[in-house]
Amino acid sequence: MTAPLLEVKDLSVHFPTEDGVVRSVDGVSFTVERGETLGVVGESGSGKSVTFLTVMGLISRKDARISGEILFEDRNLLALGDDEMRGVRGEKISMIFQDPLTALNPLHRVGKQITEAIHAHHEISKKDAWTEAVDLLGRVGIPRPDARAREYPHQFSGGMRQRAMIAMALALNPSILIADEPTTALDVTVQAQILELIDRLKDEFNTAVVLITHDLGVVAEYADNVQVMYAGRIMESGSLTDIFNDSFHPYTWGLLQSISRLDQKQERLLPIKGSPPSLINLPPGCPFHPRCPYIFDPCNKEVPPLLEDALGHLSACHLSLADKQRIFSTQVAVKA
Amino acid sequence: MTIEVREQSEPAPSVKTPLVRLVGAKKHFPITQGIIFKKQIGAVHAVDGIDLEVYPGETVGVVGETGCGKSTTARLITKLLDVTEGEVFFDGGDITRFKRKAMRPIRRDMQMIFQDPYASLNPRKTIGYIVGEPLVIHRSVPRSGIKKEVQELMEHVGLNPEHYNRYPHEFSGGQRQRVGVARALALRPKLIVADEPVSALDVSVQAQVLNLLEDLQEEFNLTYVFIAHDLSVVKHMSDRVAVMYLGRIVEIAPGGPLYSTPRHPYSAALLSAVPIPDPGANTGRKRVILEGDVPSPINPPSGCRFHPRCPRTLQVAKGEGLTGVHPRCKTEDPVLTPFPGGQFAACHFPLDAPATPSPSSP
Repeated sequence: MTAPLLEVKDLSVHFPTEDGVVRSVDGVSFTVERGETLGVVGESGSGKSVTFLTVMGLISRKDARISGEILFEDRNLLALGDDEMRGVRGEKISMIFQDPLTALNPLHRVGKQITEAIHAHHEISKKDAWTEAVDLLGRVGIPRPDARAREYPHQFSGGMRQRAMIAMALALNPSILIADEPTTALDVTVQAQILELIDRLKDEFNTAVVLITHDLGVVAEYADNVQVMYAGRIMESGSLTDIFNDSFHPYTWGLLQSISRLDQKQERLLPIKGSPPSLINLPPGCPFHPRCPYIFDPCNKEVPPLLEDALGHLSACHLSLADKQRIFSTQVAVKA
Repeated sequence: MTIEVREQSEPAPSVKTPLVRLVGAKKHFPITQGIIFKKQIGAVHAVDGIDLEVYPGETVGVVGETGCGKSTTARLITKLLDVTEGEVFFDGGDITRFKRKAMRPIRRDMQMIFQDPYASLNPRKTIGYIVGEPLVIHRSVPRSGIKKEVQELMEHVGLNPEHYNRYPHEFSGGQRQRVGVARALALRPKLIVADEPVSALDVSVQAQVLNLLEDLQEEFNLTYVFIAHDLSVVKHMSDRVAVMYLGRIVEIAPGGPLYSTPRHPYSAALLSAVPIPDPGANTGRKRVILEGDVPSPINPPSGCRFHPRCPRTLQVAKGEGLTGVHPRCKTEDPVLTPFPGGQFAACHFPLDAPATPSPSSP
């Protein structure tokens, strides 16, 4: 077996604040394989963004206590200095964000911003870098790229800005593209354009994609593997069918049952009771137990480990495998 | 339970008088130039001639992309904005020219719920004050009875009445939206216009608020205008759904037929763009990816507003041996025409019933 492209081992990111320590990420381990699209699902505060900002080296150690290992190309990214990290960030692993308007500099032409990214990492003339930037804008589907490259971000529409961000992120041909809610700020028809684009470029650039989102529909359509996060931990992870057709975790069940569906007539949604916990005072035991309808003896005492079944489907829940399968098939799959 | 009530109210709503009626409603926001001598150089055609009827007890959903005029429509219905042209009727009466004072007794009957439960609640006031304020303003309950009334309301929407003296920051997003609902409910209105009421909430909490709105509709016999950009949520909540594009209603239909047989090419594209949370369902689905962006509402396209992005007009023109957009779509403005099953669509070349494999593939 070849080593995974990216391996995160027991990563914890804790932010000390005046009110207490915020445990944003609490012992998370996972891998990203070459060429895969990993969907990361979770609600606000589940730690999905912080995990990947840490991978990018964008969480400062001044603000947070970071522990664990992030292995990429035989190196632990957490042990790298700023200069070495700069050679990874953007060049090997790059990221696009939810709001492309705040991510672009309003004072510089779009083409120049992409040129800068190329210029900072490669020894090529400004002119060649510009040509490359124009070429990239064309590849992400911006019409008249040579003219649009000379325009400013405010002259671009939301979808076009996100395309420009993608062009910038792919400028250095990274091996991992992290997309943090790339379409949340966009309309649904534009969302479809952008997601199709990411999917196409993934093959063209041979890049692994991490798709962070709260939208299960987006995950179902574009991801190969899915990781469900809650309160800074991974609750369940597996292939697309593992999560949608054979899920092992009550939190995933709750999510599947609480969303409105376009393709089905639902009489009543089944929401998860309560609201997500405070990350300062996490409940003892399983972080989901106060909202879980299947709670029993060990749930409020012991943290369930993330265990793997024979086929690589992981879940962190005290219920026995037989119980999980029985509950999913009799209660969840029927309605979801 | 809720479903039974709806099915009774669904057929033959035409015999009843509508609670809300917009007739040819337009809202143009002027664009001016100059500081002292302002002169108008154009207008944003936010809402540009819509007819909409909302019957008592039903939920009408409004969907569309950013800038299509759905929020402006909500504000025209509730008279938070005055129409530039056209008429607004509420409960049988013409309220188009009503001024502040005349509106006051009518305001009790129409309330709004807003998107952002963080911004729509005053952080310096207690929950009790916020929910009770409409009662004070409209003097519908004697002062001594307000606290009791508010606590009852809080209980109705699933808040602990003991939290009467707490402040908004002590509540989670879902609870705050419940406060917004309680406030809207305080005067026992006939109509609630909800503008993106769950968009800011996490999915697991969205369902709680949607269920609450459904329960309250049954309990208080409410009429809803439900505005959202999330098509699945709108379909779930609504008896009829209006699809808006650039200030116009392009299609209005019950949720089921709209999803199974969209008649307007824009509705079809919009629906096909929504990802379905089921890996199996996506394999056989044909997706219509629209080219480009929504045009500016300052200079909306001539004829049918959707023609520059419409895959259907190209297809029809090609069938007639023409290249590009069909001339009729470019010159003639389509009107809403009826289809079986209570559907209405504004298109010269509407899509067929589902017998054809995919209505939009060229």
